[in-house]
Amino acid sequence: MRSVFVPLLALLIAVPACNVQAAGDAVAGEKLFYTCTGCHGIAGYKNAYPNYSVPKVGGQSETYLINALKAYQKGDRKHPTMGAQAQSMNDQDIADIAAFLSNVK
Amino acid sequence: MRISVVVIGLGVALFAGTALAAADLKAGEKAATVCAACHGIDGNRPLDASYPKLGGQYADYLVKALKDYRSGARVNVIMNGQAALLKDQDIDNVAAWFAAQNGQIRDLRDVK
Repeated sequence: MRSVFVPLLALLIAVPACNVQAAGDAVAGEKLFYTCTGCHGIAGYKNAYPNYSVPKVGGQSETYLINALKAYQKGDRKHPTMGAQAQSMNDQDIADIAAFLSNVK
Repeated sequence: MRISVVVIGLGVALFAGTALAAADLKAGEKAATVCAACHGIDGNRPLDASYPKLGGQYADYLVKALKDYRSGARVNVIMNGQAALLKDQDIDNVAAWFAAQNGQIRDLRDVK
């Protein structure tokens, strides 16, 4: 029983581990986030069209930020500026920016 | 001169007509109890890092997000289902309530 159970358990642990993102480096992210401040750094700044406030992203959930940037990158989430920005990033950039932003107090 | 006053009055009235109906915070709070299951109390304690913090977020951004989920322009299985249940007034109410909560999120002003 044990000989089957242990490898099975190991497999259960290993499979989700494969989906884990590259670890974000908040220090590297700090070097990349400056561009974001052009819109996200102005209190109450609004998109010209459609007209709504650019969201607060400092302190936001890390995985949520990663998913948002990847969705913009793939075009699943549509916004001209964010689509263009996200396309200039690789997976590590996205992980780094999310690590930095999620730790903003 | 009198005409210009009337014209300005008309302009103000037309503008007011396109503004959102006033949000009802009490109704928003009631509607937000469902959201707490994932986003946490006050929208500040998401159960998973893939769920955003909502407390203190701009109301008009939350309205935009919910309407995009409702229309399918933005895709998330859970949120598409939740937003489908909401009328415009429900969305305004719940967005205004989350925006009025103290939050842990902020804009990037003064971030060094």
